[in-house]
Amino acid sequence: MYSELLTHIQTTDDLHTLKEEISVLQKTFYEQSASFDSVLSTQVRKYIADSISKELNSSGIGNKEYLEGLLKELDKLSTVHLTLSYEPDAQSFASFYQWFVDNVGPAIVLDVYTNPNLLGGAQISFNGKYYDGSLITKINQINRSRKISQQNQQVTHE
Amino acid sequence: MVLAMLGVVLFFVGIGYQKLARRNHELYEELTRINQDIKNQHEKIILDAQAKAQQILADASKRSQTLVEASDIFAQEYKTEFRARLMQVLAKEESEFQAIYESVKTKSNEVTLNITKSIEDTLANEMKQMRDVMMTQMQKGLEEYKKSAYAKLEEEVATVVDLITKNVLKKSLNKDEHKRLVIEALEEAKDHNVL
Repeated sequence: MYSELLTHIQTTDDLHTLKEEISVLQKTFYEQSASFDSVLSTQVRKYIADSISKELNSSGIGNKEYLEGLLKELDKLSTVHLTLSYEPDAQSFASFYQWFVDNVGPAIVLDVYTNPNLLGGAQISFNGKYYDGSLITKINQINRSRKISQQNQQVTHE
Repeated sequence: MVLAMLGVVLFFVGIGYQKLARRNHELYEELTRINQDIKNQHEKIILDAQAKAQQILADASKRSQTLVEASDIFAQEYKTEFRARLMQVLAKEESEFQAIYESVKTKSNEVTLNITKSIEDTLANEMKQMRDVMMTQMQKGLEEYKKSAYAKLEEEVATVVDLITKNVLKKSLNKDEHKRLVIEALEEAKDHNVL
């Protein structure tokens, strides 16, 4: 039911913004100042509002029940922390996200940081596990191996 | 840094040579003093022995003559003959003493020469050992300095290469290469069961 809307939730920023929008929409259930539909059209991003309207029409369930179900689905999303050496453009980001959908599954959001010192590649942290695939680490590893190899050669010569 | 290390090595080499020269001078003075002591003792022993021997002979002669003069038992001709015999005995004793004295003197000179040679050999040996130790230490120091200088140089070259590599990479990677590297890192993370 929420699959179309969830395709828009790719980053932790997307997730936080959507939760704020849901909170604003939920207030209409208790306050008489504005209707659900008017808040949806004025205070929610258009593509999100369109997806919500479409899913509400096709599901046939009430607004309140829909939003509660959506919040539960959002809580199921896992966060992948990704540190890159540069700030990717939309096209590159879309490629990275698609890779995660293809290889890990759709129930993830990316939390992206930028650290130019990495030079390239990425550091990845997910569910308490960590992998450093940065270029700086690879260069340092190569340098360390070279140094050890030189030291071993010196010992052999002595 | 490298020049400073070389300076330190040369400083210690200089100190080593100064030490060696000072020790050489000390040993030479010691040898001269020992030679002089031996010579003095040798002369004193010879002179003492000569004096004592002459004293003994003089005493013996005097006592014999006194005994002969005092005795009434011997007739005059016996006394004269006895005195002549006594003089012969004394002359013979003196001659034998002179021979022994010459022999002792010769032996003593030989011993002195041997002792001097032995001391000279010992000192020469000690000097050689000191020089060998100095040379070994110097060679070891230079070897260590060389090794350390090369290591330092290699480290500095590696650091420069590393910096250049990183700077070049930082500037030269384009968008597609960055994207490829990120996807590679994600694949590796998957292979390591992180994803």
